[in-house]
Amino acid sequence: MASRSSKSRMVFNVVNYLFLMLMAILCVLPLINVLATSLSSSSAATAGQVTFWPVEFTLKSYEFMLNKPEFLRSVWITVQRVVLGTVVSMGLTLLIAFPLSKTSSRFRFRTLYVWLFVFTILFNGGLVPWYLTIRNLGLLDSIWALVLPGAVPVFNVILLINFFRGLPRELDEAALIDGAGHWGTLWRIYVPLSLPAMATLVLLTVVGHWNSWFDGLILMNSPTNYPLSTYLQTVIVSQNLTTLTADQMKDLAELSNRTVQSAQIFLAALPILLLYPFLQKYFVKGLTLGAVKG
Amino acid sequence: MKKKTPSKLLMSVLMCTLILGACSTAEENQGNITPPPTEGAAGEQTEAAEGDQDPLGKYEPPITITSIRDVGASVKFVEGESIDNNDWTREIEEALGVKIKNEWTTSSGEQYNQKLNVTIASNQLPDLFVVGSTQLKMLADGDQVEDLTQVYEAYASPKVRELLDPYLQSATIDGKLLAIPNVSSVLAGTSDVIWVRTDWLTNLGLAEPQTMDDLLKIAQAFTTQDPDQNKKDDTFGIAAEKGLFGYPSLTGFFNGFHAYPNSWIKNDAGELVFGGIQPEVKEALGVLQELYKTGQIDREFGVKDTTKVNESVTSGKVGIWIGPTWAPFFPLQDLKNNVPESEWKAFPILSIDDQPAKAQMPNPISNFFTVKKGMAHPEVVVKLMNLYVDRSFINTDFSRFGAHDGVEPWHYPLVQTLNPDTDIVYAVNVEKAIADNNADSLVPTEKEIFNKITKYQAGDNTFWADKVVNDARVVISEQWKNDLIMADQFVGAPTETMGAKSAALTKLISEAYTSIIMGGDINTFDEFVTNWNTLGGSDITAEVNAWYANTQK
Amino acid sequence: MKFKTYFSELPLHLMILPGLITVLIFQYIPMAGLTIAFQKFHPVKGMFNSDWIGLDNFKYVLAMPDFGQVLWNTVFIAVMKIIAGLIAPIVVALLLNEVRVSAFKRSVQTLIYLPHFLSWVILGGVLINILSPSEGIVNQFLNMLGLESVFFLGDNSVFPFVLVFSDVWKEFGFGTILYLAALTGVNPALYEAAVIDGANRWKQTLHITIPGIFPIIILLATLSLGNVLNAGFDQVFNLYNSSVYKSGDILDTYIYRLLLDNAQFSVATAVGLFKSLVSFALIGLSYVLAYRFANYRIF
Repeated sequence: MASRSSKSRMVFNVVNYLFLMLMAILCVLPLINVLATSLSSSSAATAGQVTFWPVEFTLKSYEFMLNKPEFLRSVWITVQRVVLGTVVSMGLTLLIAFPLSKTSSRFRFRTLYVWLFVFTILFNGGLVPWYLTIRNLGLLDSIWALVLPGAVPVFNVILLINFFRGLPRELDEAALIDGAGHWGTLWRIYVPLSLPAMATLVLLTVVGHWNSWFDGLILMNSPTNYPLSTYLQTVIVSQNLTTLTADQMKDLAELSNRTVQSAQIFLAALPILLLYPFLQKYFVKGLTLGAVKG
Repeated sequence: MKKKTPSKLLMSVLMCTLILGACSTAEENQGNITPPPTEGAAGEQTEAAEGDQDPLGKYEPPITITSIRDVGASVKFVEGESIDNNDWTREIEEALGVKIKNEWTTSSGEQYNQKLNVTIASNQLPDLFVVGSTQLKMLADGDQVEDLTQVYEAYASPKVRELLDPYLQSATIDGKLLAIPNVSSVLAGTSDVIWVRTDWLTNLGLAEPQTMDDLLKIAQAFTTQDPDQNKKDDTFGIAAEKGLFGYPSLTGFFNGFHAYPNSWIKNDAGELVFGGIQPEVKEALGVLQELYKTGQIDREFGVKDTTKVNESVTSGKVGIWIGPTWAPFFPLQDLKNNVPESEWKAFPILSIDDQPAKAQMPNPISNFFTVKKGMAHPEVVVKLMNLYVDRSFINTDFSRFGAHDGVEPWHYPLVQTLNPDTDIVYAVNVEKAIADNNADSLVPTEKEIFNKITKYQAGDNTFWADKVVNDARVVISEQWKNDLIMADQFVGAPTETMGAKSAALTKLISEAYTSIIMGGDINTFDEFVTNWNTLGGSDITAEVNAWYANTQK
Repeated sequence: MKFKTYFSELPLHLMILPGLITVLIFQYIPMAGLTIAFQKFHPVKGMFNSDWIGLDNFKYVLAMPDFGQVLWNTVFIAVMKIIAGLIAPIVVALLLNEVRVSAFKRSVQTLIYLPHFLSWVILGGVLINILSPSEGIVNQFLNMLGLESVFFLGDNSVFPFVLVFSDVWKEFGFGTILYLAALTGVNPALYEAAVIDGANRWKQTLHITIPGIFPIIILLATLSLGNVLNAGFDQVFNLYNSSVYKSGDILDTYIYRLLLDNAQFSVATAVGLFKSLVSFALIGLSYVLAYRFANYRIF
């Protein structure tokens, strides 16, 4: 390589690294602010005095959250829904994306099926019919109410279809020659090659389940069955203070706590922070793609 | 759309009967309620009717009814107890033979509302449940709740009649009583007082305000004369939030100019008009504009919500806060914790002229107890109310139902009610007890307050809020006594046009007021009034007056 | 012959079956609720017996004051978000792709995903602080450059851009993940060949990388078209105020205030149906165009 291009390359690198670093810092600053607020005293937090370092350090807000048995119970519910939900979703996603990634000549009706699924992310009948359907299936208060309704994440399916289509056609043919049926092709060839895509989808699914609170509220009849995000929701103070009843005003005085809100945010983000780096090692470039040539 | 009830005449007669009955026992009320102007129906001679059924008749065999509850974070239970298992549930079962089963519960009011809306829309109603006025209208339109007129008439105890009759209007739609109203302690809860930072007054050598002019001078001093003496120009006079009438509220400010925004008031001709379009509002807006221009109101108030505005208080930037009597709990106590020298005092609404100003009081009814249509025992709601009122006002038993062991059992019963001035009455009693240094005649709720104040007086600043809140309530009680409260005259269910247009009208009001305050031409106010009327305001006024005329019959 | 083809395709149908059943039960059955949009919904009568009023709900929405302005705001803000929200993650993914230090790359990847977890309730407060005309960092910076302070959250000419910019900042991490994952699928042999041919990194990016992730760019662009009427309720709700209703009030916030005062399910369903139809039309159109002119099926 000519020395000129390596110099310009170096300049580019420096600028690039600086830019990315700046951006990353900008992205993390608010979370640091949240963390610092959660570790500060209530008066300092309400006065807006906390920037990036705790003021009057205290663990009170975390104690408050963690001491409640409802908290631990809700964590367990969320763990269940995340595990069950991810397994079911990923399984269904794979099963649907594989056939639909084939061309129309190899799989008639493929386009019809695709539109059947896409339709469901465009049109929905609204909250009440959704609620009634789930209720009539007897799923209220059950973990399956949190897992089944969203079991087919069509967006993920489309992403995976796209990814599968990017895999070389020769794979299919090679598999056919080896005598593998569709099932074999899927499990023994496509899945191992899709690790980056699957890691991505697992992350998206986990995040989705972890943060989903509205279905927990509507479909669970007792707060003892709330998943974590629904439970944490009770701690966030309503914006609309003009409609409070006397009781709610008392709740406000007791709970309206910037520090507790902040602890909640942080606890909600924490698992993903821990999960993401773990999944990142699957995003390895060019994984076994070369194997086809051999 | 309005169906004529077959016996409309009978209904009117019943109404008059009930109202007359309420008049005669008004003085015995625990809290000196002045019934709203639905009283004095001329010409009817019938006596106060005694229900012809046993108000506390027990169900044999016992019945089970379904309900739904919000059990908020402030509701605490003794070990082993819960919302389904406590002194009140046992009492209700023993005395009335009624068991209440909750189909679902939530842990915050907001969640309750969300689930309630889904419950109503999917018609999965429990037997007996609590709703707000919008939902009541929804249920009425959907014909989903029982008409309680007959059962109330037959079963309500005299004490319940005394407490609730003046408010039945709010729950009556098309002449039918569709719910039992829940009266909230709205004077202490919502009417405004003017909180002023008195340590700043001392620092600047200023006297306490007696009039609105005094207050305006103080606001200016707070803004320009460095009242916290930190050599920085970082303070300002009056706190305001972007919605204007939320928390803190500018309602109290307007009240000082005899303006009553968002309220229905009677004009000289005896008709009801909307307070928000009256000329007094224009005057108040003009003054607010001046304050904004000179920085006496935060120049960024237009983007700040309550939480953000609270920051100005807790960081010691603002000296005047207009809000309800409980403002010290949130957020003033936070400032006290930070800055022990800070001191706040509540003042009644101060007047701009020689006419004393009145504090605006909204409709005390915001919650209703409704019964699902077709339910087998609709009278159970009346009986439950009878029981609650009996055990709370007549045959009281504070060992079980008064505060004890860190729990407040008054949260537990589903069906309950208060008076608009409940907390005010407590405050007055507590004040007397403190002056006499004698707590013997206090009920447990009052004793709790008394104890907290005593602790504060002994030096514990964490109870500062309890003391000043109590003082504020005494201030309001003075106004109540001297008839310096302007009650909202419209206490019915939302009318047809209200439902359709109030969102648009609220937006109009918000935009108009805010733009004037932030410097717009004051004369756009007149344009605003015209728009308000065209957009649906005049239709609503007509409907409100029709309702009013109806209640006067 | 035909039978044999169908038979060989049978496993494929079977694979789809469980997902199809799930979707039929939980998505298609509730879709019957769309009929509420054409009814005067009465909870007791339910959706099968409520009065049919045809297009009245739609007419009601169209006749609402400010509807035109609200609709315009919605489209304007949404389109800008779609465009900016497409470009930003691509650029960042490409830049990250050039990073060789794996630890740095991984940290940046993780950190830029973080704003996604902060709710607009919190971010609203943060933005009010930093955009404050008197004390906010952004304006202080502008002042340093000799520019006047801008009242970002109170000025109609600036507010929509604040919405777009802050939303992109919050969500670009998500898109970046997807593009980075797609980038791993680009055949390294192509790069090797390009280097041999003497192409510099920029040319490689232009001719290999971007075309390599073109399918996913098209896919995400098409799907985001479905959001053209979703300008972001949560964000606008937490950031707007009456001074910026003119430019910031969107369809969803308007409907929200309508529902608060008078829960009108029929109207809400009608608006939802309207939005779905527009999304469907746009996505369908893109799909058909791509197929007709490029023989490419987007999905």
